[in-house]
Amino acid sequence: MNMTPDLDIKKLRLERMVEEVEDYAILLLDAEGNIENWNKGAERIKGYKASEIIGKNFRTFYMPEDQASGLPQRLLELARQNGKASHEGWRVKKNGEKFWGNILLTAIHDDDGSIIGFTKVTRDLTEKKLTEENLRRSEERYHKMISEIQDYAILLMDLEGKVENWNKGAERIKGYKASEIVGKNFRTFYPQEDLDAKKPERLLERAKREGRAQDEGWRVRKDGSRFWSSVTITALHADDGKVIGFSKVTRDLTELKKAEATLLHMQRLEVRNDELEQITYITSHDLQEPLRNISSFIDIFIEDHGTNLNAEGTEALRFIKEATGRMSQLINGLLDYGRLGRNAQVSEIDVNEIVKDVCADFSTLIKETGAEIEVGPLPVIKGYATEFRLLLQNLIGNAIKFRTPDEKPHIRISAEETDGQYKFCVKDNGIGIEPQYLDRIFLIFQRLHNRQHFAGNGIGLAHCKRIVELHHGKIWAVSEPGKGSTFYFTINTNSL
Amino acid sequence: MRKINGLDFILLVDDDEATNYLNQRVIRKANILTNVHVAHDGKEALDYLTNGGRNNGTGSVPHAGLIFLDINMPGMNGWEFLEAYKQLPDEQTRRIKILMLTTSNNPDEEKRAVNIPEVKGFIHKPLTEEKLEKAINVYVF
Repeated sequence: MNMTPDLDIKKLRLERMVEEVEDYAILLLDAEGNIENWNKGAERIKGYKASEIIGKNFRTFYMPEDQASGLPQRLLELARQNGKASHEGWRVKKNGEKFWGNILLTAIHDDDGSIIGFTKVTRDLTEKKLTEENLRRSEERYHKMISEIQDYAILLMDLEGKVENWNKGAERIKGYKASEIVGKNFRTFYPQEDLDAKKPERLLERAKREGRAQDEGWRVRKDGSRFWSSVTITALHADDGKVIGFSKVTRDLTELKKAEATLLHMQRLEVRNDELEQITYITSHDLQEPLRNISSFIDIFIEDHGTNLNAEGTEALRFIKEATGRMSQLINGLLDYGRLGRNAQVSEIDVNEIVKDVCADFSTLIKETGAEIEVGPLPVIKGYATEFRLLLQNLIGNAIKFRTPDEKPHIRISAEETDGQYKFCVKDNGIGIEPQYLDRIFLIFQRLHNRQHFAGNGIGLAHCKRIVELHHGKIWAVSEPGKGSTFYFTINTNSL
Repeated sequence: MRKINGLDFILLVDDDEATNYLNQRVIRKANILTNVHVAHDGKEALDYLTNGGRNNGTGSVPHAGLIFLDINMPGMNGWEFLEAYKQLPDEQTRRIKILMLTTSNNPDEEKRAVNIPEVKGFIHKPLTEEKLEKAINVYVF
């Protein structure tokens, strides 16, 4: 061929241009896909030298499964028909490593329009592919993470508040399956009064304006029951700063709310209780004063004018005096009742010692009545010493007081323990109690007997009940008229 | 009538007329010669102690005697009176003894009274001749 040097240079430049490109593998294929030339980029990307690959079919670069499925031939066919074909996929280097190739096959025609070969440009997009893959995996993991979370309902919403996804926590807390709720508006979760007040709309508005909106309140489950929820709605922004949706995280705080409510209730009760104690105290205190005055003036009256009174007048004054005395006792009993356990400290109590002391206090009465008191082994417990002593004093005192006429009182005191819970028993052979009165005996000022037969205010057993309750226990009696009574009470030292 | 050295006056501080009547009677029956004065609240009691003795006829402020003090009174109550009393000059109050005389059987109040050095004793109503004699024997000298 006769060429001018200029043309030679141009041709060379063209050849070299292709040969020297390093970032792209640029190949020439014949009509069957056999490789005719090889550039630096091809060498770099695929690892073959020109001498090793020229004349081989471009199939060589394809994964065995792609070769088996005829992908290279299909791509050539496509380029044949359409002039070009592009594809992305894993390819194999000389050393067997994979790379992610992006290829463009372009058909080359002769002047008649017949295909005489192809150019093939391949880019190595492995880096990009791996980054994408990682991103995809990380996104997948992230979605999975959110969808698996059980303690929080985490969901995405569009601008109108339509639910776009649903996790396990959401299902657990709100009761809907994803299929039942995706696409519905989150207003579904709000009770009617909040809907009327446009609360969901206001929350979205606030999240849009301030980036975030938080709320605590009642929400409605699928089954219509309510739960106390803590909600954070966060606005999601596109790169240009426009809000494109919301995320919503919900916690079910019903249990916490209930605990809080109970606590509040208990605090209120405590305050009320204190008030009542105060009222009891003040009332009793203020009632004592006029009563004592009446009593004192009766004394003065008798002292100064007693000799002028007839029998009836003296009798009348005696009744007034007795009544005021009894009322004073009642008031004191009430006062003591209100004061039981106030400022008391838990300490170790040897119940044996207490019983011994109480019996010593009753020694005169025990001697007079010939009472026999049988004391079983008794424990050392934690409790309120003064109050516990009063408890046993009342029970033992009652056991002697309500004795069967002409019979020696026999009293047995015993105790048993199970897991820090003690059950005490005071058993007598006295007159017993009609079964219908067994509950009433522990109420304050309740008396079963005429004062002429048995003195008393009807306060003792009420005190006992209160003292036992102070020790987190119960008190009850088992009895039959004429067959004696047995009083049981429990003391729970674990909770003191 | 007995005149007791160091008992120039007995001040009864109580808002209840009946109580004051009874207490005055007890003092009268005990046959003691002294100036008995009734104050219905802490303010009146303080007036008696500070107004130059116009009330006791001696021309000087009272400075030797017994005060029976109630706690619950309208206006200046027993506790408040004690606060004000502490401000009086020591040479006046040295020979004055204060005894709480109340209906209260509230241990809290007794505990509180015990912690006030000006309060020498805590007596439960009603005042009787025995309680009065005992108070004089123990505190008046």
